[in-house]
Amino acid sequence: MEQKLLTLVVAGGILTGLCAAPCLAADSATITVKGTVGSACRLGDLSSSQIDLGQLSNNTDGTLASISGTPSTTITGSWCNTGSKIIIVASPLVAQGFAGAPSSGFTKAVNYTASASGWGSAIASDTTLGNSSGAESTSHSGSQTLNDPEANAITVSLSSFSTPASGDRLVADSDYEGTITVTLATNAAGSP
Amino acid sequence: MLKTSLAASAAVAAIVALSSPVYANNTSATITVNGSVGAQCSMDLTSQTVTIPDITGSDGRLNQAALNVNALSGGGEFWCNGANSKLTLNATPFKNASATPSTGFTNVVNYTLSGTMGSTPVSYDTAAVGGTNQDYSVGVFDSTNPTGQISADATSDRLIAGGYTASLTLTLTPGA
Repeated sequence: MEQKLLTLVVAGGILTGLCAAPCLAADSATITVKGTVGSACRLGDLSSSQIDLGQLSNNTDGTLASISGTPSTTITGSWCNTGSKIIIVASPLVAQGFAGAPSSGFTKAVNYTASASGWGSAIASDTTLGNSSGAESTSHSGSQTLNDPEANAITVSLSSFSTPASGDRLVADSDYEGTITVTLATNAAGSP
Repeated sequence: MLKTSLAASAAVAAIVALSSPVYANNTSATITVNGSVGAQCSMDLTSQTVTIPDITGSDGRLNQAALNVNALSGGGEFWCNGANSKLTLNATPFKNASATPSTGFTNVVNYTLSGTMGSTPVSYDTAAVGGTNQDYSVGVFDSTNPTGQISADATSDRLIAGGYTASLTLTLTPGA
């Protein structure tokens, strides 16, 4: 009986010696790392923020001249990381210094179509609707949606110049001015 | 342990906040389109001769009605596109330059030229300003076959026989 007791004490001593340091059972942990990417679009930089069309009238009869070439500017470095919508809004070229309404047969406005291309395969375009005084009675814009993320250059070009009434002469003014606004926005409905 | 976990969560939240996209979801650019239109004027009329039959009556005095003609008849289109355009008019009286009148006779007939260029009334009296330039602000206008009506001044003198000639010069000057 005494011998058995000693044996147990020795065995206890051995166990004590093996676990002199903290002795824990094997274990594991899994850490989950999460992140998010917000939907974003960024319109890049304009090669030029101004398009100068020069002399607009015909020197022989004072009507709208034929605008040579396709006036344009480029926006480089644009991207969207989700579906997007490109919107273009243009306003007519209007004589800034000419006061009041022009006489019959004359106009102080030139209309045109502004187009944004290169953002996907579709072209967003908007045509101005100015009357002879340059006023527009209805709002308008052009847009296109793109379902996939896109990174590309956008070309903004002008075409289809016209006067409110065919054959109108343009009033003299050193500054005819219009604006084109291009907006790039995320389009959640088109996100992949 | 719970305390440690809360501290770690706070740290992760701080990192997420720092690394969130800094781009706006909507971006736009505005492009200015410019052009200009120079001031112009034009008229179809380059020169015209109006021939008037005998301007005297049976008493040898002026038949005023005979001189009442439209000097710009069939002159075509006149136009200017500038707000500061002007018409300059210079007219001389009817005159028989080869004659020297004696008492009771005259070799000159004055008249008033009147009309409208666009919406601008024009009146030129040769008795008052004959032979000098008179300016009229006509602005932006477009007139087709405007009227330049001649109305002779009355005179009690008899007219010396011969040819009588008057000259009217119209000049349109563009101004923006």
